[in-house]
Amino acid sequence: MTRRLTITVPDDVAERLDREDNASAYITSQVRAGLRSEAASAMVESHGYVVTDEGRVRARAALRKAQERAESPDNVQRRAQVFAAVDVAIQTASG
Amino acid sequence: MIRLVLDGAAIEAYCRRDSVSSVFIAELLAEATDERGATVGLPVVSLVNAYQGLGKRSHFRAWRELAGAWTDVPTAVLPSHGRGYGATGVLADDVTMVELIAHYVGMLGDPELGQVVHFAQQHHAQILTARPALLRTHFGELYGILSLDGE
Repeated sequence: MTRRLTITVPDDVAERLDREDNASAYITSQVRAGLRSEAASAMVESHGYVVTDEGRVRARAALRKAQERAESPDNVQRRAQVFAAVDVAIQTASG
Repeated sequence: MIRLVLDGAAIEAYCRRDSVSSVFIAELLAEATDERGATVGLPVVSLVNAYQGLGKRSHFRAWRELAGAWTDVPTAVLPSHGRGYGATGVLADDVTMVELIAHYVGMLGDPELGQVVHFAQQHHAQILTARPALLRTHFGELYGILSLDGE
């Protein structure tokens, strides 16, 4: 079920929506993602955790550092080699 | 989009809420599920292993809510072959997937981590694990590895 809405948005948001073929679908997906994020925070809090801004910064930094290590050229090469070796092993085993 | 895959020890530590790691994991859960729609993957085998370490009603409540609210991929339980629980997040009749997991399990010597690696590869996701050294020895940094203490 859907409802038709008339909304007012700032210019920068309007410009962003102008780039979408289907602005309604884009807005829906963004709002749903936001709802999921809110639900995640609410659930964590309901389990007795207090996630502070500092904690979020700490988590964001840890995720970013791990991503940086993963994206290093050496690791990208190693990852490709490992998965390629597994593919070869599977092909060999299957004859 | 699955951004982060948790192993059983991470899920258990979160549900038990009794350590510094528990707080860090909660921060990661809140942060990894962001406004861009990213979410957290919980392999069934990791949920099963975590369940074994829980004891209080509050632990099980947290576990149930994690399992119900956060598992964002279809899951299917595969038969065990005596080396642990079989479970994956993709179709059970996908032979190639089972072969991949079998090889990862063989490399790591651990049925759960083998499937965690499969999830991470499938979604290009980071891994939160109590055994980062074992993963790094065999797979390097994959798409990103975090330990429960934040390293």
